[in-house]
Amino acid sequence: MAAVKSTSPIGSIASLSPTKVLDVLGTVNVHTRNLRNGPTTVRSFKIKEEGAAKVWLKVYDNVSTTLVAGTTAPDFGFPVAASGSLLVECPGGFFFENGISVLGSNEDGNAITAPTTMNVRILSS
Amino acid sequence: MGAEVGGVGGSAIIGQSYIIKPANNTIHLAIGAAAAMELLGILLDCSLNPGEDVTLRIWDYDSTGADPTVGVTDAELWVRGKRGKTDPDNLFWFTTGDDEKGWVFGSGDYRIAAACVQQKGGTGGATSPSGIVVAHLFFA
Repeated sequence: MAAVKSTSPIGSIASLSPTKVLDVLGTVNVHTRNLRNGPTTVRSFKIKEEGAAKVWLKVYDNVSTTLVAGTTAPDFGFPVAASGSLLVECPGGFFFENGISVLGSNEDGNAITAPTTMNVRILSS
Repeated sequence: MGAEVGGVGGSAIIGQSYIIKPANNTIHLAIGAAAAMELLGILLDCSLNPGEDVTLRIWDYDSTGADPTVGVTDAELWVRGKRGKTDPDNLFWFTTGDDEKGWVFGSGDYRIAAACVQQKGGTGGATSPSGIVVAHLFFA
């Protein structure tokens, strides 16, 4: 299971929804369920692949008990080049109705095979 | 963003935008030569599609091989669009690496294709949206 580094809110303006930083570090080859367990709005995804293989980050808006790696269809699939990075910005915020789960893979489509080392940062509110 | 032309059933490259109207399970092939294009962003206008969320799938493929098939061929990249929403809710920008490029697809003679379906995911499912979805692909 990849390590969840932090879920701490940042920002100091009380009248605004604080931005939450969620880091998933290491090999994301076992799906990390419920990075957010409930409705949330994502502002951005930052994905860094440290290894020498092209990878995909699969993102799910799911209820945890219904997510089956390799079977459940991800809401998003983001490719990242070997030793590369990808920033996906959602200017209006993308609303996840159920929560957020992520999983890394060396395959495109819905298939899942373990990637090398992928680090993910998600900003949500 | 360029003005829309072509109307329902048409599509056009306007500047660096490729507009698919309507975006459905009819795949748009050879949108461009992938090696020469960066995908900067995607906007899914679902304001006329209140019934269900949709998925825009994008493939890169070798022009010397088989064309991708909606519902069968694994997509390279896909995003979800919220029902009844448009800009900015269904707007996504992509930046790669330290040189601030958009997403660069495969090299060689790869080409880009796109289609829009109701189902989640990058592979199975090929049901068109129940309403009209307009997909804007922004390239550099």
